[in-house]
Amino acid sequence: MRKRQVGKKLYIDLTLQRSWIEEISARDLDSGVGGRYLNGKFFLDQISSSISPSSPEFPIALAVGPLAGTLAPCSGWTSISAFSLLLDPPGYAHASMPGHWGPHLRFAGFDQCIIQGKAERPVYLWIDGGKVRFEDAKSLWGKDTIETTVAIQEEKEDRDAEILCIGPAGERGVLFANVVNRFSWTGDHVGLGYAFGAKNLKAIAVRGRQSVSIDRPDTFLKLCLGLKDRIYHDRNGSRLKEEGTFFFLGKNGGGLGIKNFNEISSSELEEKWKAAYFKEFFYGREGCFSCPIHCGRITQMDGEYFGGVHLEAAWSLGPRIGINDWESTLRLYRLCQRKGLDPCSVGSLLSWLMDGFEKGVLSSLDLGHTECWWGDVEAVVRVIDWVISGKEAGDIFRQGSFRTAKNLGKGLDLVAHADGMDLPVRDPRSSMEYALALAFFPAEWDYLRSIPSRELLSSNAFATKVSGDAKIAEQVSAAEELKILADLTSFCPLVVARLPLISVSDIAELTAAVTGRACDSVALMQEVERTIQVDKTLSEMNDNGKNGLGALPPRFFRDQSSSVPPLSKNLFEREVSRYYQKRRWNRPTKMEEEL
Amino acid sequence: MDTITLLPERCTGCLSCEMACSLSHEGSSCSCLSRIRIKKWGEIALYFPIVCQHCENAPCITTCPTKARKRKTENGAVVTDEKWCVGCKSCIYACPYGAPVIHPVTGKTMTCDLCDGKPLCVDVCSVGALSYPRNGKFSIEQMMVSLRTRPLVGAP
Repeated sequence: MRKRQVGKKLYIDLTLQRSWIEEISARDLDSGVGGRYLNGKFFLDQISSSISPSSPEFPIALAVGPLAGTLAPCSGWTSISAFSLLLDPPGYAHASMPGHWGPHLRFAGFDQCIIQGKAERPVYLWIDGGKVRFEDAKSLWGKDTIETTVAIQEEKEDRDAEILCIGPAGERGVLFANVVNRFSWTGDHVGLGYAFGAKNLKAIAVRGRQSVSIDRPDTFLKLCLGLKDRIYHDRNGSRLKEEGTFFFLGKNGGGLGIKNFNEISSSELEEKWKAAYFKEFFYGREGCFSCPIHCGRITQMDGEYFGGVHLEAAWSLGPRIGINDWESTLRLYRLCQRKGLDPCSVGSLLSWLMDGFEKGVLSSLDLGHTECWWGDVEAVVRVIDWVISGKEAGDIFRQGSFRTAKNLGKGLDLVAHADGMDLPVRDPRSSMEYALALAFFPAEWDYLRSIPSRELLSSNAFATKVSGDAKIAEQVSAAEELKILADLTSFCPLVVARLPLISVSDIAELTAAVTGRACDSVALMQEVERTIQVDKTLSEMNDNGKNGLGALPPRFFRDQSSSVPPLSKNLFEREVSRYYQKRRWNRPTKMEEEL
Repeated sequence: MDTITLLPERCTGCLSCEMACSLSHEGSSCSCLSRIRIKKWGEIALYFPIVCQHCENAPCITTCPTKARKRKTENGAVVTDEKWCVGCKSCIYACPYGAPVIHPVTGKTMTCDLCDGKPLCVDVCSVGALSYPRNGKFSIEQMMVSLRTRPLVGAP
């Protein structure tokens, strides 16, 4: 007997301590997509621009696509949407989170979870058997992310419960606090931990015991086995498995920012840095849900085994702040992981502080009567402690590098940001494709960023869609469409957009086999187009479209460093205009005037 | 005795085996419907697969009060006969590996049946944490998978 899927949305109101369930509309269900589109549509329908983005009343939406919680390879990603105070001006942001939480939300019977309001006292949510319980989190408040996860699992006597939680950073209002799943996984680059903390929400725990129905199990199994085999035998897939996200170093990458983007890395330096990790600290692999690649690395240090170390987190707490020994980097990473801080934003803040101090822009008075030289691990630990506790200058620093610079009125031109959001680790001057992708999609991690690598381009299916001679803006927009498709269906953006190992038609076939509804590549790409329009409308909500997308700070267009040639302003602006034309968007007047 | 061989140090916790087992046996996806289970080792990032080892002197067979636990003659797999199982959980307590689990719908125990000699969980495990030697011997393909997914300490 055929089993059709029924999509459900779980609404949770923390103020009223009440939850209710709504069915996903037939139109949305028939479209065969979920995730990012569902979140965007919710925000578009429900949110009025009159509410302040800093209000805890602002909702958080977490959603998965139709393939989450199935055998489909690399289908364990969760789309998270919230209003981010890290953006300038604060606004709607989307993040993709790997791990296991999303599929388990599906096993709990829901495709989307929307959290509204603010609890009176600290709570955590326990989602089990289609019901939500508001549990007292008083005893958990102050605990780090690992202690919180274990404490909830022990309280519920279930080690299989999936926990998404914050650490002390989120509780205490650090804007760049993140959420952590299963000790290791976080996709959060938008300050979701702050949003949790502002709502007095310590964690969302899910126990999934409902099965995800598959319309044509035999066809689906055959498709999944074929795809797993393809990924297993693919050259890039194999290297990604061997090296994790460090695969994007050396000849596949190049151009990571060192010391607040004052220098740029060479392939040799990157290879050496990578080899040092694998030689001394690498223990094994860790995989997201249903992933045949397992790009997560398990690190061994001082008798501890921990996951979650990836290229950007490690580089941010390493060469970006002048630290070149892995032991210090990993200690700082472990500290951020436990406290629930985004390592990338921590690295960005510290590199800005160190850069400003070294150049004499910031004094020791600005830094809370301390010094902060490149590579000073003790100063780094001190600043992290202040950020979490709010002591000394911590109250200012906890707003992130961009807002700290604005508040102090110093060093704003040294901040590496796009729309206020801290840059990940790759230098925008390393390629025009990357600079453009960064300017339009500032909230994404580098390794997920849908920039078409020229070397990879010639050897994959994406080459059939965009040739190597295509204009940069077209390449970036086509790659971004694939990234959004991954977000809509809960696939890993790496295997759909970055490498890509799974094509649009593969996704259409899998979706049709799971949902039992007609689904083809054209229909999926139409949904992608709709999502782009929804995201655009939402991104314009807070500034009424005055600023527009597609801007980078002036420092990257000036010759700041002898080792990095600046970006060409004319070429960049030409590509931004082309991107607007490609999307058939009107360029905001402010941007036109600046030209 | 044919059984699925486990190399826990290679397991990455991706749960592909659970999904494949659930899909092939039940036609739908859920960890709770899988005959193989992956457990995370406390708070550290290590994983441990648990699956029936089809013991020679299987305590579940001797303990089962209704004789529902039986050995299949075709491949030696120890399975539950649903007609006789009353869901008393005796086999769960008797098993040294904690392999039998209760089916969430029928309330009866379920364990690995070796998929008629072609365990799907082994097919989808791309890191070599699961393997299936026939008559105690690994095939060339299984050895190749094992070599390709060698522990990477010291690499590249």
